[in-house]
Parts: sequence; C-alpha cells; structure tokens
Amino acid sequence: MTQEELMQDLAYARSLAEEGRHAPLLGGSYLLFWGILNAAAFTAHWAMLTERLPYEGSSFAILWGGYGAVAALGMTVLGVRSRQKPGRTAIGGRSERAIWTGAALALCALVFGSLARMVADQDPAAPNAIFGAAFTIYGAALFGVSALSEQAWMKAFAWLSLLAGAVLCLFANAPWAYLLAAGGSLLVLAIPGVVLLRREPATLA
Amino acid sequence: MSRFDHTAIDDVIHGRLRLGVMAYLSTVSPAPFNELKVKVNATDGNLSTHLSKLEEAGYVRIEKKFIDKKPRTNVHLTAKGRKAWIDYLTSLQSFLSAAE
Repeated sequence: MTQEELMQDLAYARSLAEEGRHAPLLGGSYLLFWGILNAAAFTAHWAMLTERLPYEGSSFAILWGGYGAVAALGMTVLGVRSRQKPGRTAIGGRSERAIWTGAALALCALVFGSLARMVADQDPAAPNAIFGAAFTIYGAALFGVSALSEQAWMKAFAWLSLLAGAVLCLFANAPWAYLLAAGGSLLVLAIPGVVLLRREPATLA
Repeated sequence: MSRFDHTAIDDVIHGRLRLGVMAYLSTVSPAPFNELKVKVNATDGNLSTHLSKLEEAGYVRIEKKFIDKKPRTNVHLTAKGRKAWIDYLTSLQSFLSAAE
C-alpha cells in the first residue's frame, strides 16, 4: 500500500461521507404543504371574522375540522412520498425529522390546551393564543434544522418566524392578525419549503 | 524506527468497496441497500458479499422488512462498526504521520 493509494482511498471515503453529511433535506414538501394549508385556513377565518364570507355558528368548527382532515390526508400522502427518497436517513434528514416531530407535538399540546380553555372558560378568544406561539415554535425548529443541517440561509426565516410570533402574541385578538398569520405562513413555511423542494433529489443517481 | 504498525489497519474495512460502505454509513445509517449500491457503484451480489463480511465482524446489521408489501433491506452501522471506523481512520492518520 503506497501513500498515494492511501490518499486515493481516503479521498474516496471522504467524498462518500460528505455525500451523506450534505444530503439534501426532504422536508420541503411538508413545509410547503403546511404553509399553504395554514394560509388558506387563516385567511378563511379572517374573512369570516370580518364578515367578508357569510358564516353561521358552526362555520368555524367546519373550517377547522376540514383543516384537520386535509392535514391528516396530506401528511399520509407526503409520508409515502418521502419514504421513496434517497438520503432519508442522512444526519441532516434525521435531525430535520426529529426537530419537526418535536415541534408538531408542541403545537398539538398548544392546540389541545387552548381548545380546552375555550370550552372550560366559555372563552371563544382562547384559540387566538395559538398562532403567536406556533410561530415561535416554527422559529425554534427552523433554527435547529438550520444549525444541524448546515443550511445557514434558513436562519433568516427562523428570525422572521420569531418576529411574526412576537407580533402575533401582541395583537392576538385583532381580526387582522389572522391575515398576518396567513402571510407569515407563506413566508416562513412555504418559501423555505419551495427552496428545499428545488434541491431535493429525484432519484438515487 | 517507523511509528506505523501495519497490523493496526483493519483488514475488514480496508477494501475499496467496504471502505466506501463504512464511509457512507458513517453519515447515513440505516441506508437502504439500493441506495448504498448506487453510492458505492456495486452490483447486488458484490455488495451482498462485502456486507456479509462486515456483518460477520459485527460492524453492520442487516435488517430485512416489508414496507407497503415490498421487501426492503436496510443496513445499519453498529456501535462496534462506528468504533472500528474511527480506529481505522486513526490508524491511517498514524500511517501518514509516519510517512512524513
């Protein structure tokens, strides 16, 4: 074994290790899906609140029930799609999934807690606390994914998300806050989603 | 006197294809068999043979399962395999230092 052969072997091993280390993230389709779904639901909610859309007592329940159904269906379809992608178990991809799973659980806790308070206290404004907190959770998740997958550009979206979270907490009960949340969803979820999707590998080669 | 001990090089790892497998698994584990095959540019049979050697040494664990009724083979780097990989890289570093 000559030194030159050894160097070639090391270069080969390094290129393969780097391929795994820098494998593209596969969460783009999820971010795009949630960005668009949230934006549509928040906009519809705002339109009903401001009477731009006709509504009756059950309209909000139908809206958010439909949101839950579309979310469940979308996640099932996206789960099948992402299982077929290469590099799914690369370090960046595993970190991305773990962080967003944690964020999703935090959001579920937030939603259930807020809905419980709405019912217990007969307080229809209780769920307004959700979206401000949700954006801070998105921000934390985007920070984590950015750091662990070495995607520095994502930090700008994390900061925007935290800013949106602070503003939405401040103006939680204003009807226009729903419209802001819709725009924020497109900005901090859908746009990074498109960026990631464009980098996603179509095949193994 | 040379500081390099050639017996310190792990023969199980030191084959071009097995080296590639270990390097890829060091960052992607578990790796689907087909993904690994493309990355190291091997045939099914050739990769299976080399994976068997790594499995015998306890460096990888082969997991076979069905997803959506389709067979799927995943290759995991074991804790022993990760240690062996780090030791292998240390040996190479020692070799290169001795050669300077």
